[in-house]
Amino acid sequence: MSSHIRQSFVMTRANIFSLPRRVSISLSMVLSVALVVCVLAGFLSMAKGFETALQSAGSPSVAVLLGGGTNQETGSDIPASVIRTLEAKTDDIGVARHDDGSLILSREIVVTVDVKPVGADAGRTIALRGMDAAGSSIRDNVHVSDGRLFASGTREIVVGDRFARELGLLVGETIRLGTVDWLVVGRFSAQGSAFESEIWADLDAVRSAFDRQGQVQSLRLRLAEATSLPLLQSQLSTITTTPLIAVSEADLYAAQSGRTASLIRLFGWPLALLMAIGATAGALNTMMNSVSDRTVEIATVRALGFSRLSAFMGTWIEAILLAAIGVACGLTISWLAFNGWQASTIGANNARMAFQLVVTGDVMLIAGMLGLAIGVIGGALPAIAATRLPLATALRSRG
Amino acid sequence: MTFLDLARKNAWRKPLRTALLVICIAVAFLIYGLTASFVNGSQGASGASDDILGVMSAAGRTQPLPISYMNRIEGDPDVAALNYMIRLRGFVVAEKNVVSVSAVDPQRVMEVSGKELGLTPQLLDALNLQRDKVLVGRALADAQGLQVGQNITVTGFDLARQDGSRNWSFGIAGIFDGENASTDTYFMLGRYDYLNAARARNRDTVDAFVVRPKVSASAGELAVRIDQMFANSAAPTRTQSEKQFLEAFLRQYADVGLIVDLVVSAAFITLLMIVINTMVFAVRERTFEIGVLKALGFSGMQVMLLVLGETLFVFAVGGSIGLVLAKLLVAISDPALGLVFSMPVLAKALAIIAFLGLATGALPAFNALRTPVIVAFRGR
Repeated sequence: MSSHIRQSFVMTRANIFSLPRRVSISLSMVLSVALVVCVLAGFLSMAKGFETALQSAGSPSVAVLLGGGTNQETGSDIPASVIRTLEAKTDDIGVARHDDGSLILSREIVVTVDVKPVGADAGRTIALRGMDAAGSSIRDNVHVSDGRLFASGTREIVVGDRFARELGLLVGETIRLGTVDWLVVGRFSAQGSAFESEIWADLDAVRSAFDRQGQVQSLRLRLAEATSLPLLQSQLSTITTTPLIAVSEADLYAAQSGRTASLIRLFGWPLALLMAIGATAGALNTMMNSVSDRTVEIATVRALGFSRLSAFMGTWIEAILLAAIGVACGLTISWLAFNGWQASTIGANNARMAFQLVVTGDVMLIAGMLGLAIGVIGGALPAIAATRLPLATALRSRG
Repeated sequence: MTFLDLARKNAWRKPLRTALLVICIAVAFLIYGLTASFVNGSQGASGASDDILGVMSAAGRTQPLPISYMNRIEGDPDVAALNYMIRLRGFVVAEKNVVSVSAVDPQRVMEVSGKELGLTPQLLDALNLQRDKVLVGRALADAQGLQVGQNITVTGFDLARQDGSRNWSFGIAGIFDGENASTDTYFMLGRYDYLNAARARNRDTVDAFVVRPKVSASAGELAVRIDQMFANSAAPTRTQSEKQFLEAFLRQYADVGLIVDLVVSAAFITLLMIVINTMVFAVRERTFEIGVLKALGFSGMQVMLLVLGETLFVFAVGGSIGLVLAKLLVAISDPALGLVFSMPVLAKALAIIAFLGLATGALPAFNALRTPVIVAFRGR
């Protein structure tokens, strides 16, 4: 047994030392593996980044109330009577209360508007969210990073950090949203989550500027604790006959991220797999060249008594090693190029949502595994061919 | 034995190696064919017209414009025809079956975009029959299995009726095909008067005006003029060609063009390297034969052509397989994806096959050209 290992080791070393003879074709295999890894890592990190932006937006201890038979904010509508009844409830409905006993809630409405950055020829569709004063404090992980919050009843806005950076908006500037001008009084940071792509303003100011008087799309409620959502849900059915849905904010955003993220993956995987098939064919070719290049050597050591296994291992390990170098290159490149890349797409509410690509451990692991698989599969067949070299013919071929 | 036969025989002397090369090339062109079909298809902006103008509110595509703007726009001498519309976006039964209904004036839609959408007088009569009739685009009808005579209910995301409900029922009066395969037909045409009469908010406003300029007029100048007309009004407009609008709109989803370019070039670079290296190797392996050919009186040029012919042959076979596969996949793909494998895509793919075939063959062919007979024989 130990002689098998020793022989394999010797053969592998001989293979590796002979690499300079085939440097260009070996490099092409390394590079093709690297490119496959890059493509897959790119798509996966995009999906991951999108999920991260939406998942960090949701908090399990905030409930979102939606009406009108939909489970998104768009198209949802909550009758005023429901809100009045809710506010009049004095028994425990699972919602946290202010010191004066009133519920901690925020009525919200989302309007999509176009913002045209100075000098750009195309506008960007942005979600403008009108909310009650409690709106920003209900959300977890949100704090004002510059300036102050909007005052109620005024046309003042606070802008998410990511969006403000993208547009170069400063506190004190005015921008035109819809048909009126709004004063930027502050910026808020939400730790890179989807909220940072929004603009927040006072509910009544938004409703009057966009002719939505009296409309409430969704209701955000601070739960007493994360586990009190079922209590709220059971209480809701006693309040009104209109069908209302209460979900935790975390679930709301997770459901939204699921579809787009899986769409990105649905796009990325077939492409990466197709490229992997091409790269495997390339790897097979490279390794077959390696075997045919070393025919005489392999035949010689086999004639000297080296086992078939050692011939197999020599070629196979060479292939895996080349693939591993490719994987390492690919991962390094994709980490340098993609990690932190700013991307954006149309997200919830049909508005632009910015996010950051993240190359995480599992993204690297999956992309790396695919790259290695190319070497493992692409190396195995030529390695088997190496074990089956007819010794006599092989030795005669270079008489 | 003709020259081509020789090239073919050469290519198949190591069948496995050639087969692998063919697979590589086929995969690269399959990727190219699919991505190009996507960009070229109705999801891309290539089917959109550069001439037809859309007038929307500068505040965003969901903000309304008063219908009274119609008379002022029509007053411009360069306007040949004008149409107005409201967009109803919603779903049928389940939330993932998203559809959009463009509610228009039937007579005017015929004048403005009748040709592009493939509308016939019969379809128009069917739409005119009753207020709640709709015409369904072929792609949408195929994707969701809609048939003429069927009644459907569209639950609007945003557009509510006066009674507070969001359910709009329609009867399908006909199916329109679009002028050609790249026309976007993934929507329905409804009637403005029906939606306008029943909606809760924004009565007598429109989401967009669609303007067809006169043939002699410049669409770009007309767009600027229309925007100037309303620059100082309560609702300023933004006028763009259909193509500009779609491109800007799609770019907000993702820079598809950039992603496609990156992926396709990654695939082609990989392919190029593998093929060049393999061919260089194959020619080196054959040094002796090349020497024999030259000794037999073949000129260096002929030997070079032989090697070039071989790579071209491999590319032609692999490329055709890839393109045929792409064509098949496009044919069976989901119509909602809107893939279109058109002649320009095919022509461009063939040009790339020829170019890459020559480019990858160049280095090994040059090596073959340079091989002196004496060295070739010494190899033995």
